[in-house]
Amino acid sequence: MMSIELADEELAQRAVEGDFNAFEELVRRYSPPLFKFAYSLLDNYDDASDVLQQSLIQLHTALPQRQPAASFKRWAFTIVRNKCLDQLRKRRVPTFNELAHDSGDPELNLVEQVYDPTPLPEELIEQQATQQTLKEAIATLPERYRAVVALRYTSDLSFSEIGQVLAIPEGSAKTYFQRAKTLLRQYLKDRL
Amino acid sequence: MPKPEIDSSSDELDRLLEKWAGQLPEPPVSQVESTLRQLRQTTPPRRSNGWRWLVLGGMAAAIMVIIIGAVVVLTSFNNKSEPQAAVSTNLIPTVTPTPEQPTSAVRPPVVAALPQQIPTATPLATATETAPTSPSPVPTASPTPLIASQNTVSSATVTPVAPINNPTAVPTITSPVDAPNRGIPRKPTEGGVPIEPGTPIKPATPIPAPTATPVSDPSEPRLPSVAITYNGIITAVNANSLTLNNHPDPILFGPNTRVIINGAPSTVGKLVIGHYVSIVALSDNRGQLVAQVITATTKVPPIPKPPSE
Repeated sequence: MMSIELADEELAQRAVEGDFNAFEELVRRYSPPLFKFAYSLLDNYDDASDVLQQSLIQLHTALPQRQPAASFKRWAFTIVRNKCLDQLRKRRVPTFNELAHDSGDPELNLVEQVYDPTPLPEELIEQQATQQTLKEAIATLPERYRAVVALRYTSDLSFSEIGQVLAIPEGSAKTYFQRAKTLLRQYLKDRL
Repeated sequence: MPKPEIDSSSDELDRLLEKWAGQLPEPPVSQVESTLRQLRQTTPPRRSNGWRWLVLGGMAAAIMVIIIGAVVVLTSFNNKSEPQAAVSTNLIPTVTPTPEQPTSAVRPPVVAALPQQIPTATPLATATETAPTSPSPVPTASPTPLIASQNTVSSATVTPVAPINNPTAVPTITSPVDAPNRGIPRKPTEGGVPIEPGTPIKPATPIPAPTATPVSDPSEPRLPSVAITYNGIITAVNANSLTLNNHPDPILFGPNTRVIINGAPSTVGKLVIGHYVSIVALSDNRGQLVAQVITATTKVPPIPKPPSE
């Protein structure tokens, strides 16, 4: 069993040198947050499982080509996020993300416009499940907002690292996070 | 159930989000383990950088060994084929004077090797107490190369040549001078006198160590053939030999020595004092002179020609 005190980069280096146990330790260390991140983006257990498996294979395959200076954690979340995007594209279902990006800025207005308030107040009361409502609220977020929220709460990444995972500036990551919270607050305000 | 105050407090939303993140499902352990197992089985173990360098170094060393081996083989092949080419030319083989001990303290004059001057070869006998009793010229060299190496080192060039592989090359040497010359150095056993302790011994000629077995007697060690070149001006010449200005000892002619004067084929009788000559002599692996070409000119010093020409 690999020593748990070893840093990610040390384990990654050992894995590159052929120590498969080091790679196993990395997988055991990051499988839960990676899977939760994927699940939060895909909202589907099977899809998240597939994405995790594909991501693990790519992690193992591309590990020797990884930039040594790059953080393994950030690199792993980037791979998972890209796999999730591929999975979302396969669904070919218009998402709020696409709709939000088709227009310029006003994600908030789009959410208000596109959102179909099918759940009746009676149903909401019946569910009495705040988490379920929150889950639905998160599902309505644009992908980037959802990714920021998921990364923020499923991993210990800072906004700077979140920005690197999503290939956006740190300031944009913070902005997306605040906008996401605004959208969630608005959604939940109407239903709770 | 109390209704959360989402709109007024961001902390409540954070709490809900943290709770949401905590309730996200865990990854399928069996699937993760299966993936790891497949990766372990299907992926060959990666080599460390040190191992890679070791492998690369080994490959480089192997390539170097192959290259060096190829060069050695080619060089050996060329050296072996060179004497054959030389013998296959029209060069008339001649016989070198009798071989003698390289460590001989007293070097007899070359003319002593001539048949009619056999009695003068007595000093040779006295000088080489350890001269072989058998006709074997094994550890000896022909006197002419010996003289060149001892007295006129600067004017003579000794080029070691690989032994002649063709067994027929050596036996074809049937010069009339051969028989008497063979007998001369064998007489020391009959009346040889030991070398005096104080007698200075001249340095041995740089004859390569015998590594091969002669054709005639497989038990005898063989000497590599040598090609020797003399350059100089004729100071004395007769029907049997000539003397160069930078080479005090006479150089014997063979009965069929090839002579070229001013680019035209000629004979030894046309050689006169004052000719600038370049003599190329090729000895076989037994120390016997097998070819001799004398290129003479009356004006411009000729460029020494290799024995194969």
